[in-house]
Amino acid sequence: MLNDYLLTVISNIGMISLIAISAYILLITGEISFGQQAYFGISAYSGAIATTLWGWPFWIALLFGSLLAGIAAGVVSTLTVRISGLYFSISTLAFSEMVRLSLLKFSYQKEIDGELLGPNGAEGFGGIRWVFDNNISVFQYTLLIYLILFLVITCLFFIERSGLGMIFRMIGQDPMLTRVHGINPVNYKVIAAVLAGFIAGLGGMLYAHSFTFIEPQIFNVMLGVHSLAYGLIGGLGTVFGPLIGVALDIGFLESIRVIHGYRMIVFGGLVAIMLILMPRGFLDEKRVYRLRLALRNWLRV
Amino acid sequence: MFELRKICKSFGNLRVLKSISLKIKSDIVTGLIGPNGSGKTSLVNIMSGIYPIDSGQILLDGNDISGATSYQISRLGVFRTFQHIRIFERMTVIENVISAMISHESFSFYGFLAQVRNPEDPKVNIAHNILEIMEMENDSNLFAGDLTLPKRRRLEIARALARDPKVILLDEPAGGMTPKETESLAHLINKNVAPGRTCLVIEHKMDLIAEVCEDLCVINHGEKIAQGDPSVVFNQPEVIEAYLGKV
Repeated sequence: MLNDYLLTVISNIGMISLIAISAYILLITGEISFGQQAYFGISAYSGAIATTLWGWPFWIALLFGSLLAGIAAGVVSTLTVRISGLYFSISTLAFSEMVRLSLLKFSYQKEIDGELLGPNGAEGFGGIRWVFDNNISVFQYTLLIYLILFLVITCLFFIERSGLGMIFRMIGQDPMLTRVHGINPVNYKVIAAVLAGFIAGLGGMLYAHSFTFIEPQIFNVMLGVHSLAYGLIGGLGTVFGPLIGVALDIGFLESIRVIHGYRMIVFGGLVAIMLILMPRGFLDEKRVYRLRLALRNWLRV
Repeated sequence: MFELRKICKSFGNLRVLKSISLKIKSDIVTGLIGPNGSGKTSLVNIMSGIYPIDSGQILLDGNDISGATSYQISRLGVFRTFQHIRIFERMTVIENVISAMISHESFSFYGFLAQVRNPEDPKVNIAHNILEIMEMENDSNLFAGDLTLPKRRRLEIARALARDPKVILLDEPAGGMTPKETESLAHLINKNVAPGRTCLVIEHKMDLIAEVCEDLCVINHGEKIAQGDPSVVFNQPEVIEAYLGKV
């Protein structure tokens, strides 16, 4: 039987997968972002404010938080689109720290049913009770998370097989050659960033409602570094790559009590080993292609 | 017709192109030769919009395109290959060819999600035909990064054919090839690349130039020193001097 602890681990995997996918989208366009946690956080705060303080319906708040995250990502990427490599990474890191430090100062409280609720700087934002108020069990909420994750993966699966996905990978491999093809990488980098921001936002909003309490410290740079590492471990050849990374880290390293204390040592070592042995992760482009051919042949037989 | 008028380009204090003027006639293959460092590749980089020019004018079919960026020039039907091969190494050969057929126009509301790896897509058919022409049909499922050098060069040309440009700029297409491979490349350029297109070929291998070019332009130290029929140009004293030095 699925107990609540196991369910929490599983739902955690689902939510963190969304931010891992968002980092992955930027990785395939050739940019390393240390700032996806900012969009995760923006959506967590705005989505939770919408349901808790304004009484919005969950789905609209989910869309609102994620769109806000997408818009923020669009603005940041429009400003940074002409820089790349290390400079891009530094600017995303700077932005995410700006968001985190702003949240530390951000206070917006309202009295709801005789209780003062809302974000209050470093004290965080508690009482995000939509899930409890609506009698949604942990199991149901986990299903909801996986429904959204499934929708995101399905969309990305089609995008990756479309012209847009090919352009993303072209830009990731050789921006100059992409330009020679008549394609302006700038536009597509903004599209990728908005998409990534939106998906990170979905994860953040779900996260806030799952844990009922959020504080700025959750959205620190370690979350961004982890979400990058998931893609680099799991592989950059398919959207399932980052999911493998998340399942390995949260499902295995973080949840098993014996290794829990050594998680960062094991995880850091794993990243280092993978970068040397398989620089584009376990499911890299070649392995994905071979698997796809094998699958096609198997289906034909 | 591609026309360059008094193009100047400097990198710091180094004047790479010194007011060079050049006409590339339509629908024939023009050769561009010159000693190392004479500015050939810089010229192609300028024609494809990769380097901005300091002064001068670039005309394509009479329209001023000076200052246009590389993707804008590409949209006008100009495609180039690179001296140091540029292909998408983490894509298969066939995906590389298909990638050349994707344009900014595929980013229309319905078009951008059009499936590209669907086997029934007409693009896939065209790509297979092109690979057949290039005698690479057996390599279509290999990763481009795993190809040998001559095959990478062929893949670049296959991508150019897939793009089907009006103007094609080949920067040392036979670089690193054996004489036999060069010969088959010359045959390929004559048969499949050149017909109906304006072509510019930069090359050091004179047998290739003699085989494919109807017009030949020689530059040295960023200046044009001769242009005309290859057999005449080869015997001009300035050209011999540029290559062999003064007697």
